[in-house]
Amino acid sequence: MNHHPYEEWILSDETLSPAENASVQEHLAACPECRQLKTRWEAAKLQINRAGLAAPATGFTMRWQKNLPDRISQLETQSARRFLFIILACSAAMLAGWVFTWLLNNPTASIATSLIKLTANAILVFQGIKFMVFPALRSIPLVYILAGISIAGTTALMLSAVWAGAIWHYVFRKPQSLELVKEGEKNK
Amino acid sequence: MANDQPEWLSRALKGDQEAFSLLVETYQRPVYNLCYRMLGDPAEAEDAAQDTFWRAFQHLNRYDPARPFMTWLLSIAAHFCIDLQRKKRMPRFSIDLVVEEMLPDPAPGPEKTASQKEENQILHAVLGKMKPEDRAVIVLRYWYQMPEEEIAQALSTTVSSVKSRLHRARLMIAEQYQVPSAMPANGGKYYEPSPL
Repeated sequence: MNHHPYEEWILSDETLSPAENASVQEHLAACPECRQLKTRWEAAKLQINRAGLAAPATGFTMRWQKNLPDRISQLETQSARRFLFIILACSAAMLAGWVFTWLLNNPTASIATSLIKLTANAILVFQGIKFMVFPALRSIPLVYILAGISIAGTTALMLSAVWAGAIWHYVFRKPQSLELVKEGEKNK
Repeated sequence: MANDQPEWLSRALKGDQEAFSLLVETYQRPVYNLCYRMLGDPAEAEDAAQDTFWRAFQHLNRYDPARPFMTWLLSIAAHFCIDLQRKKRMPRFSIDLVVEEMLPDPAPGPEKTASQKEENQILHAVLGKMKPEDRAVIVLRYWYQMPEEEIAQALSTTVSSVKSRLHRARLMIAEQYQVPSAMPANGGKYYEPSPL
């Protein structure tokens, strides 16, 4: 027996026209399969209505509030790691680009030759600096030069330490502000 | 309950965690129910509902105030549960897993409770056999009385796709739902053909 379009009409939520309704009733009287379909569908709908909305276990909001600082902390750590990864990836890409350009300019050079040339160029650069800077330095008193070197060196060391500490703190440890938030919640 | 919602929302948008907690308190049940109907396991539903609120908290600035807040939350929950089930590839429904639900009758007798549990198990067994997308459509339509247009918006799909999924899911329920033994029988028939 052809169940089209009765099957669709039986399962539809829309109100049928009187003609459609009469046609369905006529079909149902003759078709046990569609009668069973209608019976089961109506029983299932009744069960859905009875089931209502399932409720979570008591304390759902408290669990949400308790987990929130950890979630925020994890998110910040992930962001910091992603930021560090991007910086490292960019640096690696720049270095690779530089090496690639160098090899393009010296296609026949072996890696050993390239390294020797690189070292030679670096020495030339430093010699150039030496010829320019040292005569100028000779005119400045030695005390000022030593003081300048110590100030610059100390500043560089301090900045490096701060930079390394900040990276380590954000990547491998939870931010202190969140620890304080947690402590505050414990004290409540 | 929704009278203070715009104020809570605006406070939550400014980063007020307490205000967002009030929204969690208000909408925990509909969100949990959707996750439970989608996943079939109370513990997984709890985790999914908590994750839904976390996603909402993270992306609160993307919420369009022109839409109902609950629809937005249910949309996040439905997408989350569908993704979860796709990752697992297999639906994790078990007919043994039944939560104690808020039933219409506040003090049902033991027989009635057993019968309702049985009916609930049967319903969940059928829901568990559906594709997650079809299950989401059925849950949004019959547990939340959402119109097809709103379901389409919530699931980021078209109205025709919702209609086709609804028909497929209804047909599956009608074919596989075993009417429980406790249902009243009328001479071998559970229901007389009634006007549609």
